[in-house]
Amino acid sequence: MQFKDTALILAGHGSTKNADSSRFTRETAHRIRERGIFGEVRSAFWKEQPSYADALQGLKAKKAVVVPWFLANGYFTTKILKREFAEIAGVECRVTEPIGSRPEILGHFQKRAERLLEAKNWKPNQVSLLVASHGTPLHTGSSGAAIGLAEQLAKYGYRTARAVFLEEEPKIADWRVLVQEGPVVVLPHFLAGGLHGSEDVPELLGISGSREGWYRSENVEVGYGEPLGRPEEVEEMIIELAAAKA
Amino acid sequence: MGQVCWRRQGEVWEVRHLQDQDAVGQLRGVATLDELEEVVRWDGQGKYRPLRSEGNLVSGWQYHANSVREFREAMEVIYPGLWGNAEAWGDGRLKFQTWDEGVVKQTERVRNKVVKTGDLPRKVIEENCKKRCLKAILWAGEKPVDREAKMPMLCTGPCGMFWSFLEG
Repeated sequence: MQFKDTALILAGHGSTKNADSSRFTRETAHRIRERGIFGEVRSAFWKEQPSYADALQGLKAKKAVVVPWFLANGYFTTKILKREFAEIAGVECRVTEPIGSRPEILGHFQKRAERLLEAKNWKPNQVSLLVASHGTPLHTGSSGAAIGLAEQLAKYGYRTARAVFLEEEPKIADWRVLVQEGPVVVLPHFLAGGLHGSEDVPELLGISGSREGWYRSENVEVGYGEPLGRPEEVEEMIIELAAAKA
Repeated sequence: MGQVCWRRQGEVWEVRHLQDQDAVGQLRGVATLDELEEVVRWDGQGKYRPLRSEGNLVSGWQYHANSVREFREAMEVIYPGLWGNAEAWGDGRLKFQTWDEGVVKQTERVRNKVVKTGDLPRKVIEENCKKRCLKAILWAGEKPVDREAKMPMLCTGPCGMFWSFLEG
């Protein structure tokens, strides 16, 4: 499988405040470039360098496949990325579905929950599970992805499984009301941690860290999962998404 | 380019900080692009460096690229997007945003702030861009200096750092 006339662009959000927000995106781009499948491989960001426009202007290829480094087909992927990659500098761009659309995602989230349960020797029916996501009133796709994921995870037999949000109801901040009794497993629905996954969500949960493990928030035991996005986890998903559009 | 210089020896391109131009045997070898990412991600105080074109690139390292392609990728890590912009500028095909095009892409909250505060964008350019960033602000009317002598660093539109500063 080779697409030498095509550039692959991993389009992420990035952050001006959090050093980890773009790290895995950049590292994944380096890994995929090494495999020689695409003519060029670049990462590009809304908040960091290179911007989407700058990444496109530097390409030798006249065709680019853009894989959104996002979990949901929400506001950013359907509005911003579509607009930004419409056509710049004579490069024909095709934007794929976001990474979060891949079916493997469910397995990666369930693995995190299983690791946390194993550490305590608990069964799913002994814990509640929350998928902590962003959500935005601007687009239903953002919350829809997290709600769908929580519904799928519920099939594993958790006491309850539901999605909670930073910017939509039900709010992450209200988690104590939603989970009447502990313990609770919280899976951050954010790629690569970043500001939300590593700072905002743990703060709202009242836990003292963001590494995968168990914490205590007042009298409730809270298991916090590792955010998705390690290069070895997402590399194949990205290639599959890109190859389908290349 | 910016704070970086390079020297070609046979098929090897040696990239280092301009400050280390004449250093001999005292520089830390950076072996991979992931390691190079770590070098450019932090400033001298260990703080996150979101603006890679800021004039605070740490010194004391060197990277050996074994081909033009590897050299180009290294430059992409150090100054993302800027080599391509410089080439496009040289070829006369560089496109950049106007201020109006940049503003219209922002959220309503940001657009309202711009309207209410009048000359705030100009202040951000003076206080943020010109004090920190090495790029010539094409969209604000600046021209790159010394165009013939090196790869110019060119700003093609208000960046994330600009909007972040503007939002306070």
